[in-house]
Amino acid sequence: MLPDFELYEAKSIEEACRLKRDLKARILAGGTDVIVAMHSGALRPAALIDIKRIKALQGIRDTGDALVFGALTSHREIEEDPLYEKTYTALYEGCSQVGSVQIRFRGTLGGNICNAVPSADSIGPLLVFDAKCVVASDTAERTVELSEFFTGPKRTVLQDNEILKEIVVPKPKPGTGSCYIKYTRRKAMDLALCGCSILVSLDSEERIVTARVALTTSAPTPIRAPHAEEYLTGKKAGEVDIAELRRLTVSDAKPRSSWRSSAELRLTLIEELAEQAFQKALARAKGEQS
Amino acid sequence: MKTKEINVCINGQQYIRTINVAMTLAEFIRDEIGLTGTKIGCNEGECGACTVLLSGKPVASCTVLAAEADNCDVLTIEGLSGDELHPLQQAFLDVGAVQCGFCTPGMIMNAKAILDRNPHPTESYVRKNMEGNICRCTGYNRIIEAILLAAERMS
Amino acid sequence: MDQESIIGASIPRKDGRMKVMGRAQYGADINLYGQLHAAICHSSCPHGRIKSIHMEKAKAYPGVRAVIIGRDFPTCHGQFIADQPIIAIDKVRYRGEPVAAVVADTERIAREAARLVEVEYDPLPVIDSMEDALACKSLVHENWDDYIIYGLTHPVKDTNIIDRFQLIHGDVEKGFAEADAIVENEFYCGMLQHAVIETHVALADATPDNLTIYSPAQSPFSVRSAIAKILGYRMDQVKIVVTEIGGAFGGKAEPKLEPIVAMLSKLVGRPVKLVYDRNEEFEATLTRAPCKFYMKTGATKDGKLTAQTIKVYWDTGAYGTYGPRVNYNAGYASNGPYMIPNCHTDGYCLVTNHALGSAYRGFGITEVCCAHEAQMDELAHKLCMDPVEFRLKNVLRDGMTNVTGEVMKSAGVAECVEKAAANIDWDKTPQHWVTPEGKLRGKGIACFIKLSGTPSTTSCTVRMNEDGSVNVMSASTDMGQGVRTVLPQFVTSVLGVDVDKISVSQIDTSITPYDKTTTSSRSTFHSGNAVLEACQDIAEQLRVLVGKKWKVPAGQIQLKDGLFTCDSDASLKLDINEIGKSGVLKEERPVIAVGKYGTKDIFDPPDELTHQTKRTTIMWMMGCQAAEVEVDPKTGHVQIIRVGAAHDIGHAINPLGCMQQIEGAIVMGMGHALTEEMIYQDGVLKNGNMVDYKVPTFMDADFESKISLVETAHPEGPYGAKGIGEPGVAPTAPAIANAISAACQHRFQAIPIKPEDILFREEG
Repeated sequence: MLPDFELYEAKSIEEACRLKRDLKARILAGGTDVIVAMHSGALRPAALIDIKRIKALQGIRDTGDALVFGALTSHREIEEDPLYEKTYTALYEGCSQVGSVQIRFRGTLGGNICNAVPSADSIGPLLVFDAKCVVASDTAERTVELSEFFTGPKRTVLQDNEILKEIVVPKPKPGTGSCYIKYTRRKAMDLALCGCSILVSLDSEERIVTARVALTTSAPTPIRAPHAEEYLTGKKAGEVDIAELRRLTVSDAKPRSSWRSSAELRLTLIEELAEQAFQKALARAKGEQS
Repeated sequence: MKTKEINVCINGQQYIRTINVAMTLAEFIRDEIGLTGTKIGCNEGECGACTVLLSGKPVASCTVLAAEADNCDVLTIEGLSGDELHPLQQAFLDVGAVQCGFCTPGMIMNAKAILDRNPHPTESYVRKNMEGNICRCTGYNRIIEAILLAAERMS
Repeated sequence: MDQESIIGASIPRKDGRMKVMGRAQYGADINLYGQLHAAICHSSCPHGRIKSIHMEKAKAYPGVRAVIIGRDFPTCHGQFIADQPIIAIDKVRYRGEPVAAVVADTERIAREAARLVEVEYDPLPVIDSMEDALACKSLVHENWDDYIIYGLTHPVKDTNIIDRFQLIHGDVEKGFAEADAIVENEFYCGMLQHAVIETHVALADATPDNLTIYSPAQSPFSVRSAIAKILGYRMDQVKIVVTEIGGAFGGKAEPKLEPIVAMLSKLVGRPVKLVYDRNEEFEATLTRAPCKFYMKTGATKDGKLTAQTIKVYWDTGAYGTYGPRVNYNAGYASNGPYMIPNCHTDGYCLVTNHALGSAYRGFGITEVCCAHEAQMDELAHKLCMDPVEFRLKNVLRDGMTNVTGEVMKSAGVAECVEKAAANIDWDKTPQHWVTPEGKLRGKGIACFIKLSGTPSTTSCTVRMNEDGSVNVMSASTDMGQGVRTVLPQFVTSVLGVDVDKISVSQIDTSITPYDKTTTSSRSTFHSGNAVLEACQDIAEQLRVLVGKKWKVPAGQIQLKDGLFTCDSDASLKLDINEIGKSGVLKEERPVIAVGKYGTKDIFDPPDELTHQTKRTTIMWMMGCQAAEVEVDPKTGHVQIIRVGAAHDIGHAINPLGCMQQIEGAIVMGMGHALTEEMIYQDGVLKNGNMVDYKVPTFMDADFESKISLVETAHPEGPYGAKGIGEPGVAPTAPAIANAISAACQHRFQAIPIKPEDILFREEG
């Protein structure tokens, strides 16, 4: 049951940002995180600002070299449009495994990012696609690399008067393949015990010209794995020593032990997921069915 | 605002009410309007028992504010059958996919949403798209059978 | 119609239409005009003395009508030992225990106000495990003598042992001396929850002269009895109306919210409604108690069991509830469905500072089955025998003496083992193998025996209405298992009235005749027998009335296949389905009959120490399941490939109903084996929500189950029927655990078997 609060329906970014700062209010988009947290008593905001009417946060536009997703883009939109499964496969894999269909129709990319849990399914994929966040305040806009957006568990760089406006995802080069593997205990309706996202782009000689590796539930925030990325970049597909890739990926991970899982389990799984995600991303980059 | 006047069309009927904005859509349907077929199982968005169609989309109504349904159409389990049962309802009965029945309205509403967007789903499509509905009694597979049977009968 | 063809007919559920239309009325859907709403302030302390309770802020919250604490109504209750207060009095014994109740105009107000109640505790050492309980670092209950014991409970003074049960048969020392192979092992079953989709709810309206309660009580007379005692009413003044039950599996058998709302309503003089949310459901209702087994089993070199000892500890939580009875039932079943000449079970029920371990589908049998079936596999392995072959060598057959001292009749377990194995092509696959992709495959099998609580009683009334339709009044509650569909089938089998014209009325203890409980898989058997008796009486009454109409002595009237005929005049015929229009019933005394069935006379009270008896139960249920699994050695994931099941159900009255129970149970058992566990740390439940407590989903149920119904007619069951509500879940987790052990070539000694258990196992 929800505690009492004041509801505001913002009609513009400026209004939303101003209210957010003045009232120390929470933003309400799909509600699948905020409303649930309020039911459990974890969150008792004095006010919620419903931003779903703000046109500038809606829609997906193609700028030529990037897709720009309004923060209100739902997981379901990504799941249903075959373009994403084909060209942004890791993102498709992430968004299609968020909760349930009921959650995915309401939950948004913006909400998933701003909720900022280390297990968020869309974030690892967005990281490997070099996504950037366009952050708006009541007076200005700035762009932040998604990899610099998180400062701690459930903490972001958003100031009191800022909201996430849109997410810019550069279009992948031809010869790119990506994969997100979500490890869970049961096969649905589960948080990632750990997650690994990998993107590779190959040139005509099957040399890896771009490599991105992201890990979720492996650190206080979603992270990139720079050692693994550095290792892969410039190598021909056949030159990659999988054991080395596994070792380097896990070297960047700092998972903690909790009642949910030991760090030892997470580290063991991250190695395995890195190998599997790489093989899949590579196969897809080569145009093989996977 | 702490209260809001909302105008919601539920099962084809218009309702204008002033509600506490903290009221969820599930509570609105059940307590304000009196349609108790929609169940509350968890208030976490995790069990699917509260599934209704909001503007045609299946949502966990415990995670939606009643205020967010202003000027929207809502379809609940009560709105599905007229003089006769909807083929989904009939199929659930024929296949034996109902035991305690508490999850059933949410199951049927999510199934309706599946058939609305995909009239000829595969078994794996149904299984995946129903993943947000939990049942403790049936073991699930008869429910999938019922949905596929309804799809067949409706085509 | 051919009245016998209704027995064995898979007629659809009679309550299905209401449910698919969303018109069935569950507890939360019921409201009384003028009702107030309650909310509970739960203890945040797992074990401690209540130092102070500050209620001023809560009382001052607008819309609050009362704040009640334990001292306002200091009574204790319990099924076997009255150790549990309605609201904690001086001490809290588990986190989640009610310490105050707020009554207010709306649920929202009540919940907000409950947050404002401030309680201070003097913490006591937390008993967080069975080891803690045995070490007695503190006593959960300081003095067992403070409590009334109603029966079947033997607490040990100055300990946390609330009960002990022993089963002693033969001479285990002698038995082990005769064994060529002995295996010793431990097994642990984690804490589970019923996690049904409907949470607990109750609505009470108490006046000085009567008390009405609406709740999904699966054993309404048990609730009536407890409530009458606690609240000071006579039983005739107490009316429990059973609302549609949204799943129970034992979790709604005992009074839970009913005493609270009844007390609140009595104190405030208005109806009071209380609905638990999901977190309260996890922290403050019931669980399946975790348990630990220490087993030693011996067999000869040709595979005949000679001796077995079992020590078992149950973590029954802060209060006894059904714990001692679980110890008893499980103790009887702990040796499995085998002929073992010498055995000793020693079961201890321990109290701890956890939520209350109580009745859960299977009633201890699923747990003991994990333990004894792991032993059977270990022995089979040691003796180089196939697990199926080993079991068939030892299972009980008719005429053999059980470990309880009873000579078996209607023992269908051998056939169940053969069929369950065949259902996964047991003979065509090795015990374990590695697939080309490097996955580990294995198969496992498990069989069990379970008693049905005895003695017990039931009664019913059957009434024919003026239009020839029939109402059955039976307090066997339908919680989705289909008793409301099966009882009309019994009526049709005797009278020939169309099953569509027969309804089972809503249960109201002031109107419906007494039935002891809807647990123990007993309803088809007991209520079926009662209904059959009542219908014989109805048939007799109708023959008299038809005879009157035809002016022929009743002795000449036959009723067969729904048709009344006359021995002396072939032209006289009446279809019972036309009796309403026929005038036969008009102005005559109403056609109504009572049926009863009880098992006290067949019960041989067991020896107090050894629990040996010629007959401890009206029926033993048996069955077997086999599983094939595929383990991914790199991720620790387990995929169930297929499950084969065979259950001795005596006689399937409604085969679809039997299948539905077993199918659902198999998926539930899979949850037990792989993903479900309630995790406590220092008396605090960490995963009390539906994400972190992981019941199987659609995606997890992606495997085939092949199920056989074995029918070894029970001589006392209605048409030979036994029970199937619980048995379906008994062997599932054990079979899966054995299959995973085979696949990994490693004995797993606990459920759930999680990825880390697989990935970090010791090679062996």
